[in-house]
Amino acid sequence: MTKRLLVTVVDDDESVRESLPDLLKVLGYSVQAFSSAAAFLGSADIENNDCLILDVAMPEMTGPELSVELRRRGYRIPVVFITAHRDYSVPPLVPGQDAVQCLLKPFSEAALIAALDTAIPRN
Amino acid sequence: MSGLAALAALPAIWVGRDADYVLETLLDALLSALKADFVCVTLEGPKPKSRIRGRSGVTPAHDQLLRALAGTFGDDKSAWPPAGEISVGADAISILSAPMGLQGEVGVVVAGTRRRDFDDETGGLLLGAAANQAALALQAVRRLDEQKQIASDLDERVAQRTAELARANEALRFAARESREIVDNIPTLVGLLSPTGQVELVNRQIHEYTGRSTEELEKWGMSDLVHQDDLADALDSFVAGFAAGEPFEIVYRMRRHDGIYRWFEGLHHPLKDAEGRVVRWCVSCNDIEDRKQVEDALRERERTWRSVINGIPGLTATLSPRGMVEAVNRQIVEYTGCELEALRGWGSNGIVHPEDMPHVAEIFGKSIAAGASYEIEQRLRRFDGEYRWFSNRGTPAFDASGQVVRWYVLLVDIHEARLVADALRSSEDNARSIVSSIAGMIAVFTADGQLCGGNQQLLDFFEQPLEEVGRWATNGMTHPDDLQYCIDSFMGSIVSGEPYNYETRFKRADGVWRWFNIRGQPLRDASGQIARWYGLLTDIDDRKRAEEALEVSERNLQLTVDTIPALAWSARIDGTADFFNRHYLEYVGKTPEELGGWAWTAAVHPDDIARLGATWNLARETGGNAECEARLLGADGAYRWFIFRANPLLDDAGNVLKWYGINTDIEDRKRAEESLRLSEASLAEAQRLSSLGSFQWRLDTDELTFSDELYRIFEFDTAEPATLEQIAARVDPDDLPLLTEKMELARVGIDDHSYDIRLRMPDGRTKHLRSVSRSGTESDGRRVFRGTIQDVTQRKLSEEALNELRTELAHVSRVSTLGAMTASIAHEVNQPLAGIITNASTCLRMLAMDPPNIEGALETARRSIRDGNRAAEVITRLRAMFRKTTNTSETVDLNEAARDVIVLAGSELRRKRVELETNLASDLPPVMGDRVQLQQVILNLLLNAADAVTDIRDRPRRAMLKTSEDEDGNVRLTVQDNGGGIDPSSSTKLFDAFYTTKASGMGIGLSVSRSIIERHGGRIWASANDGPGASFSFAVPRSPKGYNGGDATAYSAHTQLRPQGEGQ
Repeated sequence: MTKRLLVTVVDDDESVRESLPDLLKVLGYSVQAFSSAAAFLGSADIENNDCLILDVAMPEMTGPELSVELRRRGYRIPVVFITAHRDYSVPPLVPGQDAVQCLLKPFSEAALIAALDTAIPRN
Repeated sequence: MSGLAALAALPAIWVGRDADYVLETLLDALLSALKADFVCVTLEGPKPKSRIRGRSGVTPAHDQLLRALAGTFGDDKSAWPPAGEISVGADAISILSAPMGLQGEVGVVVAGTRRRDFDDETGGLLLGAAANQAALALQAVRRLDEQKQIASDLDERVAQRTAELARANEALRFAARESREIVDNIPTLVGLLSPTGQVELVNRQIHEYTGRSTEELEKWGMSDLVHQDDLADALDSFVAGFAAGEPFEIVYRMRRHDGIYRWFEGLHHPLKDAEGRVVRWCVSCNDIEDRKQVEDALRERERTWRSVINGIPGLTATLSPRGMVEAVNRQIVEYTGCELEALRGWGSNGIVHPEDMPHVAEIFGKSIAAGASYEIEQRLRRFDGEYRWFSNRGTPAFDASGQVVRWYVLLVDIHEARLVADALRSSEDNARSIVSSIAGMIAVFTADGQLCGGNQQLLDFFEQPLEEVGRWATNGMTHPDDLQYCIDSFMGSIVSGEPYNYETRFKRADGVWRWFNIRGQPLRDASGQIARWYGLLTDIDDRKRAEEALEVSERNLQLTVDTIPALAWSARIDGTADFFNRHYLEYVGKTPEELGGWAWTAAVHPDDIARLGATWNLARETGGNAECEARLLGADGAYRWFIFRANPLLDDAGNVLKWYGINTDIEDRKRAEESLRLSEASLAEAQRLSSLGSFQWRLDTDELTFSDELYRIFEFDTAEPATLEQIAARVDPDDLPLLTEKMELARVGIDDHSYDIRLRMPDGRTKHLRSVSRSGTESDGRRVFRGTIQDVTQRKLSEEALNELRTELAHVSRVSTLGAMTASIAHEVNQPLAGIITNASTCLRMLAMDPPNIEGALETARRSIRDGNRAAEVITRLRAMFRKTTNTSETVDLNEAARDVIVLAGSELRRKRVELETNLASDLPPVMGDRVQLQQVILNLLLNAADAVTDIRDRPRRAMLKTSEDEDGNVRLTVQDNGGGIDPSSSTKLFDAFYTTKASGMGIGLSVSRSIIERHGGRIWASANDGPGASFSFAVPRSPKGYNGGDATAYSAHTQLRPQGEGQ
């Protein structure tokens, strides 16, 4: 059996933090969830993450800000942004860069799987 | 008196009568006049006679008397004394005698009586006068007789001679010589004249008397033969007489040979032949010088006598025994203007007053028939037609046999006395009653002025007995100032017999002086002597005072006319002016001459002249009062308004005599009227413009007074007075209890009402009225309710429209606010949706696993339900906020409301990274209001605070929402931020519409918030913080305790008004 891919969810909304990890686990991923950027940055194994699912609008530090901070620290981890704000300004997703896709809440299971497949090529 | 009259009448009745008649009437008159026992007349001369007349029993025998007279006084009757005494038989008789003729050559008149006192002046005078008159008459009689005799003789003889001449010519010449002899010897002057007046023959006596030849005599018309003074008359008479061919006489003075003129009476008698032609004139000239002298003397005495008789204020006449008027004296002719013939018809020609005629005829007839004296008072017509009262007394004269031979009548004017007597008699007729009952006081005085009677009023006035009143001149009851005048007036009349009439003051019993008019009239007895004075005292005190007042008032009249504060004038009946008072002249600055006639109209304003003229003409046509307003040009060049009033002065028949007018200055009144009119007009206009009517309601009578505008508001017919019933019929049935209550409160005296009420018009329209009223008191003390009623329908509709608009605006504002929050809200909804979808996917995958993870699926399902509820809550809140509500009123917990808003705005705040702190007071009292609108305000404040801190980069963006209850019991909510704060200068504009400090936004949020809070009875304001930022707060009243949310109005049912037609 292959090692499960680690996906970390950072969202200040509790219902997302409850529901999304369960779905990701059912889909075969290992999952971490943090309620803020600061909490994630303070965790032990950032480098083991295969994909980050970041909420865009969070107090203190937004998802894109966290993404910039991680790159500044030298991490190259694919990121999928999720947001409930349709008009929220999301930094442009540059191919080859960290950001893979921005999903608008509520998003479907298929959209999530597709985004993850893009972020983590299966082979 | 009657004897005197009879004597006076004698000469008139003797003319042409014979001696017997003269004697008889003389005896009658003397016997009557002298009151003698007898009268005796003895005539001398060719036909001596003696007659005696007297009362039987006392008249001596005629011859016995003559003997006694001759025996006592001698044969020479002319030497008899005027008065003496003789004895006839045993009787001593007093005698009065008077010679007839100067030397008694005619005879003597003797009157006698047995009385001793016969010798008086009057008797002698009367007897002498009568004797003289008789002498004249008897001489005339005698001469007449002589002349008749001579003429008769001549006629006879001439006729004989003529007849002889006719028979024998030769014999005639002889006979002429013979007749010459005869003629020459006639003891008088005789001549024969040819029919042409030539002297043919004069007798010797003519030659002897004149001393002239026949030739000289023939030229008598050119010589001094006839006295110069008589010549003209003599020639005239001579020519006329010859022409007439009838006997005539000429009296003239003829010169004697010695140059002395003597009076002659020339009797000319024509001698006629058989054919009646005058062949000769026979002239006999009788020397009448002696007679003439006697006559002159007698005439002189008669003139004296006549003057005595005429001096008697009487009219005298003699009547035949049958009552026929025989003679009248001059006074009668003068008085009546009628000659004797006319006077004889007195019984039917109106000389005697017709009213008196029956009485006169009766008395007169009886008297004549009985031969008894009469006395009648009657009216006799004067020459000018006026009747005057006369005393008519008639006395018969008897002959020796006792037969009435003549009546002597004396008429005495008693007119004045009669009038007085009539007046007195009429008052005396009912003396006791009338005198006592008349208003005036009556005093009766004796002829010498002593008070001898008075009516009760007189005594009552003075409250003194008659004797005391009689001492009016000395006892102080006559005013001292008037006393001398009274005495003079009264005593003057007593002496003169003239009526008196004067005014004086008498002291009434109570000491008050009162003015009296005193009139006195003498009452005369039958003889004309004053018997009594009748005085009438009339109280004229009131009149006197009125007169005094009038005098003063008249004295002041001119002053008044000139000083009355008006323009006074008068005009003639043709309308032309003839008087202006001083004010008039001063006002127009003109002289009376410049204003007279129609010139006054020049001062009338041109616009008013036609109206004034029409009024003036109409008044003059109808004779009624005139009144007109017009402007008059004053001396200062300004017109002023006057009211012209004119009244006509009418005579008894109602004809206008004059016009009097007053022009009163009404300029001020006119101006006041004008301003009042303007003010009323503007009030009415104002009422109309403001749809504001006024009313007055008398509480005692329910009488209503509506202004015009109020009639319009109620749409009542202005022709009929408004009534409470009409009002009740108009009021919306739902508001009728309100009106009833308000009226009941007014009736019981609760004041100051202000309320809104609706009308339901007949066509279904609704009118909203606002009534403000207050009770008051009329000047007569009656209570009234006055107030205004404004038609606020338009305002009400406007307010409703505005409210609607505000609601709409609030809604729009809310929607736009929410619209601005769409992203946040969408986030709020999408968040749970995302959860739900994710959970649902998880749930399906867990169920699809083999074996299914049931436990996991259940967990995810529970989370889906939870997130679904969460999304539904947000939707519910949003729906409430989007709902377009009308103003509702409910109890609202501001804390709860604020929490909901925080939930809605939370994501927005988070998105803007604003940290919101809440500090909600516990036990916050609820408020009354519209929850959604209050939440809108809270949302606005929160979003504004978020906006205010958006630009903050150097510090955390913070906002705080807190609630509290303030000291006034209001509930307050404040949102505080730490942003840039507010400019103090703009703090008052912050809540104005379209005021904004933001780059985006319309600036209506705070404006809408203010209107919402104010509608809730609260206020909203902004203030600067001690530190950075600003605070926005609002406060609304807490809801009343026990407030049940229903309509709290309670009604009194004392007076339930019923609309008309609903029955009792």
